[in-house]
Amino acid sequence: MSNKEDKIAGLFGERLKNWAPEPPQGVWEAVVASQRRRRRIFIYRITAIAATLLLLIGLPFLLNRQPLELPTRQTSENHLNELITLPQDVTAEPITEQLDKKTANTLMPVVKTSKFVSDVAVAHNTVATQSEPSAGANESIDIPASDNTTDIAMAAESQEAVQQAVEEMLAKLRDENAANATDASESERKKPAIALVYNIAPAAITGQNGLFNNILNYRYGPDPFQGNMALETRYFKDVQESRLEAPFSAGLRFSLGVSKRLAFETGLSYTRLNTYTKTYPLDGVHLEYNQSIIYVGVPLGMRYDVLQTRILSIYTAQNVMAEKGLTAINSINKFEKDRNIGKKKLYEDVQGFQLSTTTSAGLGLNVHRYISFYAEGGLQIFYLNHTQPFNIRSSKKLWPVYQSGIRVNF
Amino acid sequence: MDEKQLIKDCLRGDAKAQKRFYDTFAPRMYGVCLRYANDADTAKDYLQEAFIRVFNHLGQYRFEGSLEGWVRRVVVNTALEKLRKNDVLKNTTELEVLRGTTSHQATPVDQFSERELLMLIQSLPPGFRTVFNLFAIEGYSHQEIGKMLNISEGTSKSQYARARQWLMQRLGKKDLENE
Repeated sequence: MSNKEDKIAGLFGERLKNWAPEPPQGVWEAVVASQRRRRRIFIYRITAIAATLLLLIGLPFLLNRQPLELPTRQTSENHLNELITLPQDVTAEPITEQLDKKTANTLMPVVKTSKFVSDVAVAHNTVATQSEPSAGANESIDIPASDNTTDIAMAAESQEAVQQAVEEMLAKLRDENAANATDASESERKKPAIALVYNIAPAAITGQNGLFNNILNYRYGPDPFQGNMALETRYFKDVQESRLEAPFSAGLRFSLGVSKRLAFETGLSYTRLNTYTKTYPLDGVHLEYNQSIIYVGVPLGMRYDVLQTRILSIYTAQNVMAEKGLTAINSINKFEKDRNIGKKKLYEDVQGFQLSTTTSAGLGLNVHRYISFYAEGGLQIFYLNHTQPFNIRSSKKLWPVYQSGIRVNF
Repeated sequence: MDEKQLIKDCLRGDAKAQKRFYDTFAPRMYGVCLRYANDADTAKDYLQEAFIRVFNHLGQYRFEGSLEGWVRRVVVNTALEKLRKNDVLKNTTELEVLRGTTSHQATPVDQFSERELLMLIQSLPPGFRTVFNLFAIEGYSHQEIGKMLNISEGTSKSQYARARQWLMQRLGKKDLENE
């Protein structure tokens, strides 16, 4: 049957296809707010990715960083003397080999000048030796005696000038070297540490028109448990209360010092997310739905000590965490006048991964040479929520997070 | 201002252009949402979500076909996605159960207001309503509807036939039977 011949289709199509009722108030404002929010999340996301990439890319360079080694006064002077007085086959290599690149580049113009002076001096010696009658004439040498004398004088003056310039430069470099040596002793790497971590985050409570029904919050994956709940509660119209409990999270954190202030961190984290939903009583009977999702995650990040004293330290940290849902434990309880008259429990697999980034700042308190307590607060942004069952992270991507723990420094 | 310029301005993030775009299409799209939703609150949510998507994906409009047609497709797809997400389309409530709707025995067909026709559509269970909307109003074929809703073409046809029969009863008009 074609809908052209269908009078019902014709009637409804003709009257309703282009029907334009007045849209409700507040929609445009919500669209604008969502656009703003999207831009803000985009900025957060880019910032978090950039910070994480910067840390990960910078890590190998930081790990391979060696303290600057500069020649001592004695070795510098020895090289200088060798450079100026040794025969023709002497080159500037000894200095460039032993000084670091920066030093070599700084000295290069001087070294070139010195080599020229040295060459002139050697040429003079050769001429002087070969001009002896018994040695026989060397036709290739045609420098007049008077020129030789001038050259020798000039060379001597140049030698002195160059030696003085190089000495001044080396003195300056030695001062820098001394300063760097002090820094190097200070930049002793942070010692490895292991920490027991406990995370807390705020809970959320919502009524029937809250998280479940808010269209903007549909950021979660297909979940049979929530689907059944939707059907059984007339699409959440019968929901009296939903409580997204504060996530429980604990774990181990390992840190490895990269420098005195910077540490690379990784570890293992266990998280449990609970959602509790209660329906209005109907003829004295109500339902309670509980869902617990268990996650195991691996964080990866960096910690930087902004301030270090013997007792206190203040630091900032940035990390990214990948979490895998191990299982979702779902239970439905039926109550008649507060008496449990039915119970059902089932386990479901959780697909996909949950990614998050955390930016935080914290305070460490050293109570013993090896033991310190710490507490930190920050913001955690959750990504890939659409792959996960409904949980507290579906309702908002950005959550404050507080962490405390005990750290054992080796 | 032509459509192309309006789209360019919207893509540039010009708030005034976006508002103009919204004002142009929102009334008709709200009409679409009302047909797919159970009630006005849900329709409002569909409209809001659909316009967020429209602005997020406006760059994907290739100027093939009318802009209104493209916006309408986004709105319909948004509504279908929400219905699917809540498993509403699998809700197989029998039409016969719904007996509360008043029959309009004495009213000529063309005197039904849009609101009254909408109420009739909204009285249908979601699965029947969706198939009816897609076939009778949007003009999709049963084959296309089958693909969109992940049901067989036969299911789409039978749901439409039952919805149609039910609506005719409610309208009380035998003259709407096909010749």
